[in-house]
Amino acid sequence: MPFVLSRRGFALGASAAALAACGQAGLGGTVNVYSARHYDTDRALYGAFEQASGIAVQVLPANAEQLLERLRAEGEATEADLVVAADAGNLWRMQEAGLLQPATSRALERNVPARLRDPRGHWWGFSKRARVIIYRKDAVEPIEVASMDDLTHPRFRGQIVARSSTNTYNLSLLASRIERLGAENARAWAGGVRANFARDPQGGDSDQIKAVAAGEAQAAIANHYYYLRMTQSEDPAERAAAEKVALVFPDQAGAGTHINISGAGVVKHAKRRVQAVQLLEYLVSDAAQILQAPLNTEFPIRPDIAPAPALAALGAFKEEEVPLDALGRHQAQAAGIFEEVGWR
Amino acid sequence: MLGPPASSPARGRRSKMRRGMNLIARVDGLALIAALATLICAAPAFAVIGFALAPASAGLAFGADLLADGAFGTLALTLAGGSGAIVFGAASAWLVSLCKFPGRGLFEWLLVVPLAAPSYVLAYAYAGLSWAGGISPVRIEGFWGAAFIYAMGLYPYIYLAARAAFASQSACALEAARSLGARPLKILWRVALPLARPGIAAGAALACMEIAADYGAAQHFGLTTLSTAIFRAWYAHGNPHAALQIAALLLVAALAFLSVERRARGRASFASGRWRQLQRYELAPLPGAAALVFCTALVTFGAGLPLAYLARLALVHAQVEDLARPLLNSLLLAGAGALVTLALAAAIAVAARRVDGLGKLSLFAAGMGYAAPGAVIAMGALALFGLARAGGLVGGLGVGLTLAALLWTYAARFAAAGAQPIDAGLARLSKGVDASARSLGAGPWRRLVRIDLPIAAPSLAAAALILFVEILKELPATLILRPYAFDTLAVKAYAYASDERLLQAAAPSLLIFLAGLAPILVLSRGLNAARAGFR
Amino acid sequence: MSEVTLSHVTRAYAGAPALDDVSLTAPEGKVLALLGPSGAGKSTILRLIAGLEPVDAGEIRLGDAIVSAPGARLPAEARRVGMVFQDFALFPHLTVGENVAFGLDKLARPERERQALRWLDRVGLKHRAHAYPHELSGGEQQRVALARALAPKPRAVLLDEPFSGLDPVQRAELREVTLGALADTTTLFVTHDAEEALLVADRLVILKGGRLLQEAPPREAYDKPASVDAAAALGPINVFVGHAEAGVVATPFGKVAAGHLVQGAAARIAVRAESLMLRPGNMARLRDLRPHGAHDLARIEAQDLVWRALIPARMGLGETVDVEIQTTGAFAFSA
Repeated sequence: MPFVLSRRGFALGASAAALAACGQAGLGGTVNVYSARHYDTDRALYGAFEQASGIAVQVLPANAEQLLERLRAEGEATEADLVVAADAGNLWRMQEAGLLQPATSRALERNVPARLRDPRGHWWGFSKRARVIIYRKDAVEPIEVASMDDLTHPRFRGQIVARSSTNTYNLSLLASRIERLGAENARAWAGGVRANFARDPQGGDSDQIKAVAAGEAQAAIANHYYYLRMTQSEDPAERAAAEKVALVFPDQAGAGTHINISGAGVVKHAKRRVQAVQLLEYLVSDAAQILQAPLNTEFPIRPDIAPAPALAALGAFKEEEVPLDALGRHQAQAAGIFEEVGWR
Repeated sequence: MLGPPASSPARGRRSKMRRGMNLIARVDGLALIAALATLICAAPAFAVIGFALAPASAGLAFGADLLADGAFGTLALTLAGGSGAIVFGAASAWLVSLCKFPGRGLFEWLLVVPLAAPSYVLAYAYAGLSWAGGISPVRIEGFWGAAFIYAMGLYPYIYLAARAAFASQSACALEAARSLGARPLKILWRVALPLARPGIAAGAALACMEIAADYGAAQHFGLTTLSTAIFRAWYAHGNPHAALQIAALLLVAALAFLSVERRARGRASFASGRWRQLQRYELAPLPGAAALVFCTALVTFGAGLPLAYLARLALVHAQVEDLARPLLNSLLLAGAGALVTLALAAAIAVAARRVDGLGKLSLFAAGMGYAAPGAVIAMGALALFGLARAGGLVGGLGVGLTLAALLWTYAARFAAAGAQPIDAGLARLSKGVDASARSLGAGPWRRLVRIDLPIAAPSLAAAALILFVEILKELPATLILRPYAFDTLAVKAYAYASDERLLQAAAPSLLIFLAGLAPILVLSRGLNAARAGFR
Repeated sequence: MSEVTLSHVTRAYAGAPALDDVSLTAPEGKVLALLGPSGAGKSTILRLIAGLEPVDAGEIRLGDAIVSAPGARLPAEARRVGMVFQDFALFPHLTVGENVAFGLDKLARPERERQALRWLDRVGLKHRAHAYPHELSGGEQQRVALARALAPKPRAVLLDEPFSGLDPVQRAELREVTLGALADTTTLFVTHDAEEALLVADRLVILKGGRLLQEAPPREAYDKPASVDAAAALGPINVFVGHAEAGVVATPFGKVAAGHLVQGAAARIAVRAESLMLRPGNMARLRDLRPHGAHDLARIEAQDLVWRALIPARMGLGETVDVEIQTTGAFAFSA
C-alpha cells in the first residue's frame, strides 16, 4: 500500500518535528496503554510515537467494561498508564469510577476543542466519528432522511434497520438526545424507530449497511466510517454493495449530527504519568492527526487539520453541540429507555 | 499397633478412648488435596454468587423483564440446540458404531471435527455466508439460526459419549434383541439407546452448559439470553452488580444440569469384564446412502462449510506476520492451562469416587463454572484478587499474577469438561477393585498411582485433549486477564470481528479451528484404538 | 492367622439397621459360612470386618486386638484381611501375575515373583501368569482372585458369594480348589445357597434381616434349628400353627413332639420337606409329583393344608398317600 507508506513516512518526519517542537527530547522508557480500541491502525500510530520519542508503547486491548473492572481490581498496583476508549460514555464511566486523573498541558488545551474533552482534563478526544443515516439510493430521497426524526415517519414502516441497543454507539446517540430534548422525547423517538424495524437488531453496523444495500431495508443508522470502509473494501462485492447506498449527515438544519469521540485519559495510579501525557499530546499533534485519518477513516479532532480526501468528499457537516460528558451521564437511562420500547 | 487385649481390667472409659485414638484412620491426604482442588475451581463461581447476594447500591431496576426474557431465551435455546445436538450425536454415533455403510471408517473420526470451532466463529461465518450480501439462499439467523449453529457445533459431545457407550455395551443385549427378530431401528430405539442413555445424558449436559455460557453467537444473532442479559446489564446499564446477579442464576442452572447428568449416569452399570467385537449391521444400499449423506451433512455444516468460507477469506485478506505470535501464545496458554486444569480435575474426579458424599459435592461445586460465560468467571477471579489485595495478601497484578489469575480462571471454567471424562473412565471400574486394593494393603496414594491413574489413563488423555481445545477457543476470560502484548488467536479474531473487519477476522478464526483440529483428531482416533479388553 | 470376633455389632444406613446387635466368632483356621437371603446383612459383615465401613455400635476384633469400635477404626489397608468378590475385581490393566503380586510389595522383586508364581501354581494357573484378566474364563479369574488374596498371607480371608457367577460344574470344581487353598486359613464365606453353606462350613451362621438367627456347626444347625426362620434357611420347610396337647402338636399330616412347650401353649411347627415319608394310603391327597433330580417333589393336601415333600424318585404312588413325619426333621417352637 504505497499510499499509506508514503503518508507514514511523512508522518514519521512530522512526528519528530512535532516532538521537537514540544520541546521534549526522547525520554525513553515505556508507557502502558489499556485500549478499548482494537484498530490495527493504532499500531501504526503507536509505532510512529515510539520512533519519534523513544518511548516503547505496550498495549492491552480489551472491552471497555472489562478494562474498567480490571483497573478497579488492580487499584494502586496497576501498571496501566493511559486508557484509550472508542466512546465518550466509557471514558465518563471510568472517570466516575475514580480511575482517571486530570492531566493537562498547553498542547492539549490548544489542540482539543473544549467540547470534545472533559472540562477538568480527565480525558481528551483525539478522533471523531459521526453517527449517520445510510439509505438506499434508488428507494429514498435524501430529503426524506434529513433528520433522525424522519426515521420514525410511517413512510418507513418495516424499512429501518439498526444494531442492538447494547452497543455503546446507540446508547450514546440516545444519551445525547436525552440531554438535548429530555427523556420523553427520547422515548418517543426510540419507540418510533423501533416500530419501523424491518427485523430485530442483529449483527453490527456493517451488517445494517449490507442489509440496506441488499434491499432488505431502506435506511439504517451507522457510524460513518463503516460506510467509508465498505467503499474502500478489498472485496469487490462489498464495494458494489456500497455503490447502492448513500450517506447523509442528519439534522443539518436542526441541532447537527451526533458525534462521538475516541479519547484517552491518564490512569489515576499511573506510574509513568509523564510518558502518558506525552503520548496523549502526540495523539492530538499534527503528525498523528494527519497519519490516522486515512488509516481508520475517522475525523481528526483538530478543526484545523484537513481530513483525508475520502472523508472530505463526504462534505462538511454541522456537529451536534452536546458536551460529551453528558453521553456518559445518560447512558444508563438510555439503556432503560431502549429496554422499555423493546429495542434490544 | 492395635491396643491392649479386650480382657484387661476395667480401666473404664479412659482406656477405651485411648484405644479409640490409636485407631483413628490415617488422614487421607488425597481427600485433602481433592478438597483444595475443589476450592480452587469453585472459588470464582462462589465469589460471583457471594457478590451477587451482597446488598447493592443499584438494584436491577429494569430487572424482571430482562431476567425473565433472558431465562426464557436460554432455556429455549438450550432445549432447541441441545435436542438437535442429541439427535445428531446419538444417530451418528449409532450409525458409526453399529452399522456398516460406505465411508464409515472415515466418519468415525471425522464426525468429531466440529468441536474445534468456537460457537462465535461459526456464528460469524454463517452470518457472512447467509445474511445480506452472502451467497447462501437460506438465512441462518435469529433463534433457529443460533439453535442450528449450536446443534452443529456441539453434537460431537454427544457423539463421543454415545460412541463410547455403544462400544462398551454388552454385545449380549444387542444380539439377544437381534435374535428376537428386532430390526435395526427397533433395536436402536428399545435397547441400544436406553443402554446408552447415561452416556448421552453426560454429553448432553456438557453441550447444554456450553449453550448457556455462550455469548458471542447469541449476541451477534440478536438474541436475549441470560448471557447477553449479563452483558447488557454490565455494559449497557453500567451495572456490574446486576450482571453478577444474573450470572449467579446461570451458575445455579449449571448445578441443575450437573445434577441431571449425575442422576442419569448414576444408573449406569459398570463393566461386566467381558467384551466381544460387535457385529455391525450391513445396511442395504438405500439406507446406506442415506447414512452417508447424513454424516456428510453433519461434517459439512458443522465444520466443512464454515472452514471453506473462512479459508477463502483468509487466503485473500490475511496478514500473516500478525498471526505467528498469537498462534504461539495460544498454544502455550492452552497447553499450560490444560495441564493445570487436568491436575485439578483429576484430583476432584478421583476423590469423587473414593470419598462418599463429599466427592459428589466436589464435582458439582467445581463444575459450576462451565455454564457461566468466561467473562463472569474472570470477574469472580478478579474480585477475589481485589479482596486479596485489600487484605494485603498480594501486591499488584503483575505479569506472574495475571497469568496465574488467567490459569485459575481456566480451571474454574473448564474443570467440569476435564472431570467428566475422567469420572466416566473411573466409573467403568467395578467397586470391588478399590476394596481389593485396600485389602491388599494399598494406602490411598498407592491406590491412586497404581490403580486409579493407570486405569484412567485413556480418560486422562482424552480429558487433556478436550481441555486443550476448550482453552484454545476461550475468548472472554483471556481478553480480560491476559498480560500485555500477549494476544491469542481468539483475542485477535475478536479484535477484528468487533471492529467489523470480518475479512481480517477470518484468518485467526481459521487458525483456531486448525489448531484445535489436531488434538481433536488424535482424541478421536485414540478412542478407536483404546478398545483393549479391559475397557 | 487370627480369630475374627464380632461383639454386639450394629450398623445402620439412613436410619434403617443393616445389622442389629450381631455377635459371632470365626474360629482360627476354620471356615465360617454366613448364610441368609439378600438383605440379611451378610455382605455388610464382610465390609465391616474388612474395615471398609465403620461400626455404629459394638466392636470387632482380629485375634486379641480391637480393629473397629464406634468412632474409631483401623483402616482397611492396615488390617491384612484378604477379600474375594463375586465379580472377581481383578485389576484389568495388570497381568495375572502382577495381580497376584500386588499385595507383596514388601518383598524384594525376585521373592515377590516367586511367591506369586507359587500361589498361582496352587490354584493351577501358573501357566497363565502373563495373561490379562479379560483373557481368562470366569472360573480362572476367580482362582486368580483367590491366589491374589492369599498371597500376602492374610490373617483372615473374606469371600463374598465367590461362586455365584459360575455354572454348577465350575462351582463344584472351584469349591474343591478353593477349600484346598484355604486349608488352615480363617475364612468367612458368604452365600445364599444352603447346600453350599452346609458343604463348606466348619461353623455356620444364619442371618435374616440384619439379625443373627443361629450360630452352630452345620450338623447342629440342621438338626436343631433355633427358630422357624433358621430352619427355613437350610432347606424347604412346611409350617403349621397349632396347640400343644399332651406333649404333641397335631397336624393334618401327623403328630410332632411338643418338646418343652407347656400344655395348651400355641405352637409353630416346622417340618423339613425331606423329612416327610410317603406311602400308598389315604391320609392325604397327592396333588402333584414333579421330578427333581435324585428326588421327586410331591405336593400333598389334607384338611385344606398343602405341604411339600422331597421323596425318593420313582416311588410309584397313587392318588392318596399316608404320611409319616420323621422326628429328626420336625421341630416345634412357641408361637
